[in-house]
Amino acid sequence: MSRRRIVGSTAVVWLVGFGALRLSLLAPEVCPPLTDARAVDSAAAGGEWIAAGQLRDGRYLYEYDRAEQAPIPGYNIVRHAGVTMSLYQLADARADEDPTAGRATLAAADEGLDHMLDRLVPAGDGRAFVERGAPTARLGASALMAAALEARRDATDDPGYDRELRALGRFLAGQITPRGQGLEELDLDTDAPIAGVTSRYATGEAAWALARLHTLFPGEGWDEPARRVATYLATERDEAEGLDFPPWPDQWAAYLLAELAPTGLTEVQADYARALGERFGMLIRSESQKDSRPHVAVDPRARAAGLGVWLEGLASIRRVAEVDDRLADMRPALADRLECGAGILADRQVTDGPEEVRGAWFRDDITRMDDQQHALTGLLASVGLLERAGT
Amino acid sequence: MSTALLILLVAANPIAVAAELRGRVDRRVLAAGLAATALLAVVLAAASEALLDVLSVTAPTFRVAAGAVLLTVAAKWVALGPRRLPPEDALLSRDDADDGDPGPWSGLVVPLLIPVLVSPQLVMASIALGADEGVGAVAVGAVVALGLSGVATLLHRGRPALWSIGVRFTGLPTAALALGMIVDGVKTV
Repeated sequence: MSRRRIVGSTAVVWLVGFGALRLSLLAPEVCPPLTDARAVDSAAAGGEWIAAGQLRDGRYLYEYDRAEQAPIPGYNIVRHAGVTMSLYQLADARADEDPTAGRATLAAADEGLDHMLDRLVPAGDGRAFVERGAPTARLGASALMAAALEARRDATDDPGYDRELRALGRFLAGQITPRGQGLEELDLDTDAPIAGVTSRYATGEAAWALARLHTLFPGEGWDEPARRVATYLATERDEAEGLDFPPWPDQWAAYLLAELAPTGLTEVQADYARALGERFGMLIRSESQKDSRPHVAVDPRARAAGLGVWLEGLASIRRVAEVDDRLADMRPALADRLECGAGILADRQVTDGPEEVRGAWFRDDITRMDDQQHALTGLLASVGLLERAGT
Repeated sequence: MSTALLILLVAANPIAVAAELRGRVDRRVLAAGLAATALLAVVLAAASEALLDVLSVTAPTFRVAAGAVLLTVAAKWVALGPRRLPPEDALLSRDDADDGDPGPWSGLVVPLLIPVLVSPQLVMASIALGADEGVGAVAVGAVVALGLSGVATLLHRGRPALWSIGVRFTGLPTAALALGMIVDGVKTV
């Protein structure tokens, strides 16, 4: 083999190797630029999609197929509560800049709230949001209804629903076990929690709502179960729920840690916050590379609900890092990744067409209401417009 | 600093360099090749941020890719041992052969720099470490790693089978460090 052949074969190996890397691990990270104003506009368009599809009974258009130009049947009350919460967050964010739009968003959210208030039933020591005829009260739906009422309080300073909020809080607290695990269901016949039935989502949702209750009503003891859950999430939940590759990217846990951080996190909670920030950051970094890779070789683009969730989680960990110096080293990277993720999200939004399409995020021609919920909340969080909730 | 040193040590792999060259290189040529490679590593480290900008990737992403390259090479070392270079006379082209003895410096670029010293894993590691730990750490790591490569090459006295086994063993810590780079890159925000 002559020198020329060695150089030639080496060059081929380098070029093929670099090409393979460039199409996989080393694909360019594409982060479309985004101003704060454009992020709010994008969130607002998502909120307008939700409001435009609202039904007379306060429910929202649940799922829509763009190719068939038709809604897809189905509904989920946990997502109803979450969507209502996001509308209150949007109403709060728009109140100063565009009061008229803020009031319209608030009105849509209040219609969604009325739907939930009509379905509040006695449960445990408090009340729960339950679908009519259901035999059990589920933790997640009530947790997000409480979160919606808390967001409403942020948006309006109206204490009119504090009684319902506290009643929901008592139901949530009653579902938390001594080890900090949330029991997902309460049997409405026996009025007792069902042992052993849990949810990967609901424990964090409930604890966040309880932590927000503590922020609104300090001194009433809502923080004790919330802190118990925070330690459970940090140390046991992923294994208990059979979640591989911990930490599971749980934005509700991140919200909880952000709410508790101003009054101090334990060492394991701070470590968990760091691990969550790393996971959300990696997910957004990977998402930013997807358009640079051959589509046959990678997962499809994340749904807007997924990307929005990562932004919510990352923004929450940024709030932790702002007040907890143990995470101070993460601040610049968190800010970069948030900006990148928000840019990707806004870039993928449909900006024209009929009202069933405009303002929504689609994957495979399908959008579901929680795509808009998480996207708009994630966008508002990324530009710091949800900070008030933790102060 | 210690991370950079370890990674550059396994990326350069003095035992593999010695096993591949088999002591067939003139000392002056070896010194020049090692110095040029160390200089290249420092230049790559100094230019790392600009290179990452050109590639539109962040440092953690590049770290994962560098770890993957290092892991691939580690697997090759474990499975196949050192690269077998052709004998010196086989490296000569017909023109070279017609010109008579090409002299010791003819081996500087091939095979000393290419493919032995300037390897994909060393290039990737220099850029990744330059972005993460700075030029100083890469400079120290490169001087130590390549210096040891020179010493190992001069110490090579036959027994290629033993050196081959040594290379296979070096693949194991290399794989461990490569996995560490990948995990660290994946975990970073």
